[in-house]
Amino acid sequence: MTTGMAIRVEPAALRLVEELFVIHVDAVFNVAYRVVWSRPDAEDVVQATFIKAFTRLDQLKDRDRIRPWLLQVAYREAITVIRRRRDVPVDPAEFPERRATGPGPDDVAVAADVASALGRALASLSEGERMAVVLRDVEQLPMREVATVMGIGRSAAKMRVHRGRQALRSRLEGQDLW
Amino acid sequence: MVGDDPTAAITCELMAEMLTDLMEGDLPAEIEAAALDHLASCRACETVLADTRAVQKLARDHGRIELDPDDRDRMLGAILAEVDGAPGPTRTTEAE
Repeated sequence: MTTGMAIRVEPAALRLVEELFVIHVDAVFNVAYRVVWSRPDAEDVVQATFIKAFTRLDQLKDRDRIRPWLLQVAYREAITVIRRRRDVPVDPAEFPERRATGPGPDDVAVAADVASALGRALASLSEGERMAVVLRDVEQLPMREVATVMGIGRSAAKMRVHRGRQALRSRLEGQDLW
Repeated sequence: MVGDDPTAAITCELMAEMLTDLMEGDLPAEIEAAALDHLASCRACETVLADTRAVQKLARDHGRIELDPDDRDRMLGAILAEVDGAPGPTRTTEAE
């Protein structure tokens, strides 16, 4: 994705955004991916998110607010992507899960199976419940940041986490995953 | 989520509603104590809590899609290509 218009930035701003990229790119990518279920689209969301960061540096001076700000931008960009492609649904069952790691080949295979089972279960949740679980349990954000990213109140965020976890429990129980 | 005298009767239904509040440490002390009492004597609710914590751990340990250095470099390169005055893409990976 290109905007076709170069953004002029100062060297200090460039260093800051590069630093933010290194720290937060994985979380931004994961939030985007769990909404759009497409690696190229998730990468486009990452790109759009950090380019927006260049234009909003005045909002990023408070370090405590950077992560929720970036994830909120990514979440909104990702929602825009799926609304735009409403007529072209993506099958979440076909998504590639992470590259599994482990000390040996068996561990790698088990980790990949677990990640795939979890990914399928996450895909079956409503978008709101899935994002709440991703932010709280995968990205380990405090509940108030989950609420900030999703643009809802803390109680509503907690309810979505609750429902999402219980739906995951229901879908994953009996699969010998714990 | 809790009635006038929650400590008097924590039912399994109420326990299910309070589960996330309990896990988040959001319950008032006396209600939390009553909930823990209920869990100590209710195998079904204890199992639900244990399984919910297992789901939480599963998500934490296996829910993140890891990017490799090439992914990161490609994305950063695409971002910097949009910026006037930016140098060429650099390796973004910290010490490997």
